[in-house]
Amino acid sequence: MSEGLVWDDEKGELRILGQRRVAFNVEALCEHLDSLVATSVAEVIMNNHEYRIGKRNAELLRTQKPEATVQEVIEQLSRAERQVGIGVVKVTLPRESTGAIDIEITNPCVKRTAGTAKALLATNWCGVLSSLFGGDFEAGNLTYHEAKNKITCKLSARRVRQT
Amino acid sequence: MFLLHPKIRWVGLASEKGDVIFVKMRPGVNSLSPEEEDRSFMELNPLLILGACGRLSKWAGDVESIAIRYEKVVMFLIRNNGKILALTMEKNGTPEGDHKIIATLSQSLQSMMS
Repeated sequence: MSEGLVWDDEKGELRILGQRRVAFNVEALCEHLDSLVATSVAEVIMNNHEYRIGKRNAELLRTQKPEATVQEVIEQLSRAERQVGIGVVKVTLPRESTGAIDIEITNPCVKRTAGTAKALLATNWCGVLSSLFGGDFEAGNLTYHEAKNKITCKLSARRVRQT
Repeated sequence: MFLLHPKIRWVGLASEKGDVIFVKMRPGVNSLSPEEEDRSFMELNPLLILGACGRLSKWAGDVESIAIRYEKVVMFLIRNNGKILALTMEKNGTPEGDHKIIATLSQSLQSMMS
């Protein structure tokens, strides 16, 4: 992943961290997905997508910068989130390894705390943490603080029953 | 599960969050699809199908089950108690024949999932 945001008007191209992206109305997409299927189902779809994206981005960064610490990977991915317009992300790791990880997103691109919006904001980080620490993570306590225009949530390890 | 009806070929169970609990082929029956594909299917696809149909639930009531007739098999999806069960069956000649089996199975499966 290279640094920065590149907008090439002549080519009609937007690149963020070396990857081509497209700017579109994500709030409209979330609302549409939520209306096409039940909100809970739409959330699972977006969860599935964002989890993979987060995991892939962290793995890619780790491959490109194997010497980077966990904190450095998180900082670079937070910066990428800011550049794609998700909002200003702050990730706080707990002092104890079993504690929950706090995520704060100031000026979030979507304000809703359920359905696809919830998954869009939080699940990417579940995938990132899964790549960095192993195991499986889930987001909880997603809250929008209107006065501060901020979303907070907690990510914690989850158990999946499989046979 | 396979004891419920001799025509059941395959069964999968997943949570409504997309966690696959199991996928299982009836012993001695050859699968039409790779197990990894079955597992990926169970992750989201039944939920999507049920979710898409659920759009009318406000007026028509909850989706209880969905039957899909493939060329080679019939698939039956049922949702209950936060879980989604999918099974495939050998075709029973006509759609009416399949529906009879599904009607018989539906009640047993609902109570098993409760």
